[in-house]
Amino acid sequence: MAGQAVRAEAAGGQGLLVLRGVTKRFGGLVAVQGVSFAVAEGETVGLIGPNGAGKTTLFNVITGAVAPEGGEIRLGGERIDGLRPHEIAQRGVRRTYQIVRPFPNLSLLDNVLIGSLFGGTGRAGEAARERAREMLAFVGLTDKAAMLARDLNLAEKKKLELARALASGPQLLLLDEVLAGLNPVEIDRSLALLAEIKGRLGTTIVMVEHVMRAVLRVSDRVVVLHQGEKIAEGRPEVVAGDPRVIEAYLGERVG
Amino acid sequence: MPVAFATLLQTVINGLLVGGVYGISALGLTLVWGIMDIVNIAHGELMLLGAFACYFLFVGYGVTPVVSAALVVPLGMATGLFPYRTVIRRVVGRPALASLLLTFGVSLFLNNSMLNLWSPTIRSVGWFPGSLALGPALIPGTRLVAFAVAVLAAVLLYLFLSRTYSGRAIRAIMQDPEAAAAMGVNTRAILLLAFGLGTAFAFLAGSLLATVRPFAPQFAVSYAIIAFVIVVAGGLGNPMGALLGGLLIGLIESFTGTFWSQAYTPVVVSLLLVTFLLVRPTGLFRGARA
Amino acid sequence: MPSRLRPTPLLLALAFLAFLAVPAFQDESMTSFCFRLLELVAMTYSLNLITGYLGYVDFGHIVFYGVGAYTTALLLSGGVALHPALLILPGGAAALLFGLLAGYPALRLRGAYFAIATFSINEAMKAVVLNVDWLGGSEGIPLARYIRLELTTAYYVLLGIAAAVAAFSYTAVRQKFGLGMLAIREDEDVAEALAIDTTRYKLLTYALSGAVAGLAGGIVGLAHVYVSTEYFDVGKSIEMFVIMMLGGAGTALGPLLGAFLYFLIKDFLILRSPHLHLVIFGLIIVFIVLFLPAGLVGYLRERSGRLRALLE
Repeated sequence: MAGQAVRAEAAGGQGLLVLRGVTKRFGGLVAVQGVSFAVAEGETVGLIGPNGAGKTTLFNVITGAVAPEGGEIRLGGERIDGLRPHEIAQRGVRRTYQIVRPFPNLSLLDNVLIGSLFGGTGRAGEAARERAREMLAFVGLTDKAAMLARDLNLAEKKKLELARALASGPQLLLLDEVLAGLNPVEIDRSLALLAEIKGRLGTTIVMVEHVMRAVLRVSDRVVVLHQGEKIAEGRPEVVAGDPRVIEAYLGERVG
Repeated sequence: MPVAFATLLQTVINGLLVGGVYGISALGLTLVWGIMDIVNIAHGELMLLGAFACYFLFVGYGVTPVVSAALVVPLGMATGLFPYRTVIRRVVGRPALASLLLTFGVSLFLNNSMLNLWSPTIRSVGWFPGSLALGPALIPGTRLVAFAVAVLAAVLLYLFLSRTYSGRAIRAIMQDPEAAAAMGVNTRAILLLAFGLGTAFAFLAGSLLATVRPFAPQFAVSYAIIAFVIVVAGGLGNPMGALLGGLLIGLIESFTGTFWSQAYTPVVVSLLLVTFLLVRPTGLFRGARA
Repeated sequence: MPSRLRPTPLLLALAFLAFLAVPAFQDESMTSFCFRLLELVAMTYSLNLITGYLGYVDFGHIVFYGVGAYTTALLLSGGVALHPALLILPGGAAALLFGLLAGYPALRLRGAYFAIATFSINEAMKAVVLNVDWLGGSEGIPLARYIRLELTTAYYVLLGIAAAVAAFSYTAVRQKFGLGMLAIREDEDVAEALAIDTTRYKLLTYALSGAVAGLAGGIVGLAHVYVSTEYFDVGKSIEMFVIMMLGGAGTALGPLLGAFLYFLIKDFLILRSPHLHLVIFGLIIVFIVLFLPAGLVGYLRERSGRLRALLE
């Protein structure tokens, strides 16, 4: 424990991922405004907020898909803002997409194989293939390994993205609404899968999620965004009762 | 003075007047490109169809190119509906690979059909309306008329886009297709209309260009490249940018011809294209998209 | 792992062995027909790397062929006396270099923008060659007084180029490099988020496919003992696209099958009129894009689950 604390200290902050004053505008529109928070190694943090709160933008900024205008982002103490997306990915960051983006004309195995071939812990040859098969088994898609990704249903595509993201053994996993559009049975299955990723693989997770029940069950901590700013942060059950958070959500429903 | 004033003036006049026609051609391309994200590789062939229409009307029936210009617009509109309904609409929303290869197939079909029917002979419309003197320079009548018709067409398009429901719908879809659909715009009908308009403008530009310089089916590629460069220079989906870009490219081409060599025009145009794309991918002129 | 019969490499090997046997018949017209066939096979495999596998439409791919042909011709006419198989190497190298230089800015563009830039790069090079005196201008560069090359020799060299690029296409997709290309074709942003250095991959693919086309241009120039701006002509680009689409873009068998199919159809159609076959091919391309995006190979794969596992 002491060792971990020292490492976090040496990393110049309080964890694996540290955001300080991150800001992103599109034209005159502020998407993310001075957001700061940290995620410790092994932790699962839920990122919630009404539509347009800036959650996906924040993911895009962390992964380097868009460059922030202000603030800094550190991964394991090293600044990663301003790096190209593949350089950030090289350092062990992987994500899934709100609107799924598997490689449609490739087999499931090739989809996941690409995930395991590239990146810091990238494997080569047969080891990569083996890892890809393992990950397909992990998400329960072994029987469909030879199918093309475009022929899957939504729930399967989401699992495939998860397998692809996990294949390189990432340090940090960003999940963008992995549960959206799933039916209750599929949600339960996916939640079990998430618990296993957390427990067995020990992966650090930041998840954007609308299904509150899921956020409360899986997250160690929750960060709430509203109109691009952080309005609350804390343990899930505490945040869920915060009047500002309730107002932010109610405001959305009425307006 | 190293360069005679007369030469300079003549170069500017020639460039600007042809530039107006280029602008019209680019308008047609940018309408389709901006609204349905399809780069019509067959744009040059559509222009040549307009050129041939003008030529045959003049040679066969003695129709003045000014009148032909008015005739090719509805003709182009009607012609455009056919490829749109049969094939183009099927690649709307698909990746660039599909629409590029599809319109490439269409261009192959049209180009070789024209070669088959009308041979690779280089033709010109032998219409000579005289010329005007402007100080030490001459304004060729063909170019002046072509420019005037181009400006008139641009003004009419502007009025259409700003004053009519359909025109506003086109602009709405260009700016935000999802929002436009949510507001109840009949996207399918509007796309059809836009493709028809795009084809009509290609026909018109081709018919005007045929009065200014000789043409042949195999020139389609160079016609298309000029239109692409202008759209890129003017900013995608920006009609005003297309017109200004047309004038600019017309001038550049004219200056290249006077002070270097007409033969190097493709080199200059190519360098410009790559420079525009890299330095100002959103176009030189801030417009509707900004 | 149990070894499984893989028909794709088998078919490729058989086809190239058959090509190897052709000169033995000592039939000049047959050898020269197969030379032309191999030229298109090699060029289409090269185009297939950048367009079929990487997903970047290169309408100006023929520029590499021209650069290779001219480099080889200039060296020869400049007094460099080497075996023709070696003389084409600088041509390939020049095409590779051209790919790196032109690709560096052009590959920052995506989709239609890249396609248009390639169009325009080729037109620009053609204009340069046509107007620079020491490049021969519209006269081209006649080579007959520097070299007399047996067709058979040129044939074997070209066969080697075609077989090598076909073998590379087949093996690449089962390796890191090929899967990286496919990932970029499928979704470039996602590929980048999976730690693929997309800039490097694109540049390498473009330059490498360019080098192959440059080598082909070099040997064809030597065989015809003449190079001219014809080597930058879009006509050949069109043939390459038709063949790639017919056979199946992004497949290892596609360019080979497509080339056979192309000549079959062309021979049949050309009887009527010189331009008619291209009219029909225009329609065929439209049909393929709409209904058979992976060409003949794709069609066969769709037809049967067994073929799907076998054909690549």
